[in-house]
Amino acid sequence: MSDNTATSISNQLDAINDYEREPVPASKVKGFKDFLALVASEHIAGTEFVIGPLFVLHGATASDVILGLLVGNILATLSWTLICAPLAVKTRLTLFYQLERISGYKLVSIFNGISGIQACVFAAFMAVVSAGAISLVLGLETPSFSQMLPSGITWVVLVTVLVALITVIAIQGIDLVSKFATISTPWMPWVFLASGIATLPQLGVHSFSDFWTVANTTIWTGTPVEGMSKYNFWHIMFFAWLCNTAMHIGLADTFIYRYAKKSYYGIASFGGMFIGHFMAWIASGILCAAALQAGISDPTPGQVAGIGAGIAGIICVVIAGWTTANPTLYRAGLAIQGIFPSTKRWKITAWLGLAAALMASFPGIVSKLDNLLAWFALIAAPVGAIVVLEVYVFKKLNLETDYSHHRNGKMNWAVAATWIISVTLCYLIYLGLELDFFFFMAIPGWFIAAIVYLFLCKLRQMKQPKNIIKDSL
Amino acid sequence: MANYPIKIILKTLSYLGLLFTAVPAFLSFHGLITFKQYEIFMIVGAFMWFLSAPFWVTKKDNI
Repeated sequence: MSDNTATSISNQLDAINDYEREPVPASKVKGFKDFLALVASEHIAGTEFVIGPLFVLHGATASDVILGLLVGNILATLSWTLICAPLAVKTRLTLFYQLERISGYKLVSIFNGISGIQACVFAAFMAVVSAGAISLVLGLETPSFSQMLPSGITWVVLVTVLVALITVIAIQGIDLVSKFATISTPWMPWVFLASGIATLPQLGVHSFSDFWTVANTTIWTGTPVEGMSKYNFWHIMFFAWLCNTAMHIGLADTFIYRYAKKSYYGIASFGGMFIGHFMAWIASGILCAAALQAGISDPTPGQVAGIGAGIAGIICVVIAGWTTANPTLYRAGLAIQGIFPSTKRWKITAWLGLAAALMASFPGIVSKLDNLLAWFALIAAPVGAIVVLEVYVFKKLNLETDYSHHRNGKMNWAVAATWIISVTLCYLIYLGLELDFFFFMAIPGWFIAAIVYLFLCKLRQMKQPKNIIKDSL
Repeated sequence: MANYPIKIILKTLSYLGLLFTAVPAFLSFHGLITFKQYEIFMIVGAFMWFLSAPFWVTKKDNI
């Protein structure tokens, strides 16, 4: 590549503006169709082939699964529709920039760092899922999630190529991420549906009237496999509602919804929830039961999809992993850019892609994803509560908003204290009540943070005068 | 529109691809085709979709 070509590409990438530190202008907002595709594809991921089987392995009953997913997904949709999307449309700012204005650069850097690492690990996990499916087709050795070292050079090359493709799309910004999702989304749900339907006869369902009996006796039997805890309605309902805590009540999806033309576009999440987290989880549960019946005790996403739809199922795992990894790496780039605001997002995303490729080469690192997600839910919930109070409540109570922005970036100790108090209290409650599910604590964490932050800000304003500077935004 | 017939062909191919992905599962469920035939339909459907949809599905001036 000549120097001129390299400079030209660099200039073109520099010119991509994703409005990381300013409101999205009215000319750049997107219509409902774009959101439906983007949100639906984000929740039809390779992980659906992991989560659906979890309910089977943890011994949930059929009614636990159906009712739990129904209620949980409605609550998740409402969280996006009533909290995340309206706030994003009102401010049109990224969560990170908004948080920086409230809490100050130092504090937001910590949150940005945690968010960036979490998103990067998630993108790496998706690459591992996709690469595992491709390995199955090519007959290559696939390392298990418990294996720390790569299974060979071919695995490293495979994940590096996959992450490179993900990175190129993420670098291009929301337009290309949205375009890729729009192409893939109409096809993927049919693969999940078809896999579930076509596999039912293997489990003894020969007419739809057989389904409920087989569902209770063969698929979701109510008996966990050895070494697994028992899941009931509450586990499934809370999991369906709060597995995306960081995105809805934690407001991370303001990145996407700040481009929404109307505030009600949050309802687009209904598509993602009921296709990805209802139909797909049920279908992958059916496939897991078929895999168990076939003697595969710990099926991988590729194996599960392969049982249901052969090569097309495996292609679906690869694409599903990819469509989830794209916006995830895009978010990671934005998060870390919050720490280095003068560096272009594309350069940061490229470095994060490199880190994701490195992590994906060592599957043992990304196998801790579930713990990481649960911790992140606990860390993200207070942030969402703080921003919601600032945007909707503070002006009505005559409390100062954007504290740090009005004081030349001074650290907002009330945010730091709220964060520490709510996370610590939640963890103590979790231990005290001997809960077996970290996600149970996200909602209490949100409300504890709201109460603590309101109290601390009120207390501070009683001692200090309000310092309002006319906002440039 | 000059490319109107091409768009019609592309869209038809895409929708046929989705039909090839969704319908055979029900045929297999009712025993009208074998599981192997269902898997072949699924692959054909996937190729039909991904070779035709990118040319029209993201365009603003969809027919």
